[in-house]
Amino acid sequence: MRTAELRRRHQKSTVVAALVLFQLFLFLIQLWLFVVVLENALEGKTQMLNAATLSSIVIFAINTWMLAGIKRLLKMK
Amino acid sequence: MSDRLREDFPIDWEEDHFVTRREFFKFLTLASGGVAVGTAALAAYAQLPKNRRQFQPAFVCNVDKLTPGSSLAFSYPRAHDLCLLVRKSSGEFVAYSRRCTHLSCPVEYERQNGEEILYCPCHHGSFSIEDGRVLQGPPPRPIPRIELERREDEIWAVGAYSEVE
Ligand code: FES
Repeated sequence: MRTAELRRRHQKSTVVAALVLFQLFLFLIQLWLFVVVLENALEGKTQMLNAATLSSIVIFAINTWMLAGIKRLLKMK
Repeated sequence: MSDRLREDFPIDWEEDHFVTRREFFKFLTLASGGVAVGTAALAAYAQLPKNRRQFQPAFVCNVDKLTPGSSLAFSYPRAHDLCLLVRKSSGEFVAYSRRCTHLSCPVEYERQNGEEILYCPCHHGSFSIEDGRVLQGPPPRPIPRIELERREDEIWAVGAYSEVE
């Protein structure tokens, strides 16, 4: 029983670590996207802005969804 | 330390700044939201009709002061905003800010291989005389354009554009 619980904890911890890494990766992409569109906007090129905004919002939605998932996961016995 | 105190304050000072993975995740989500809002704000700002900035009209010179293919330096809209009025060889008047968008050297009106350009001698940047876009060199942005109006025999500056439209 004790071993099973420990294993479950270990498993949870692995899943959380993987999700954190994935989120960090998504966040870095989002940041890079922002810097690129900002540079372009300063050069007067604004064609990419709407697509970048949409992608950024989608990434944020994924991150929020993952956060909710993690909360649920950590509440699980 | 009494057990009671231990119960009420179960976290040691050293652990006070301990960040759990969940907190880090929350922080990243918030930061991600911030970046998304920033990008959206940038997109919204770009939609605004901000290219044209209106300033008080100012007299620049009389039409016959410039022969076709020559230029004249003036200030607009403030005394330290240096600009260049160009009378193209076609006789048309155009004006641009004189400050290069790279490192702010003053640009000159020049003809190179039969083409009229605004040339920056500092790092050999050049801008189109038609709309101010960058033709070559390190300038990252087009050179701002000054809107002109002809009032009988006089040339007046009536506004400034921040970008190529
Ligand atoms: S300052 Fe004009 S090209 Fe560098």
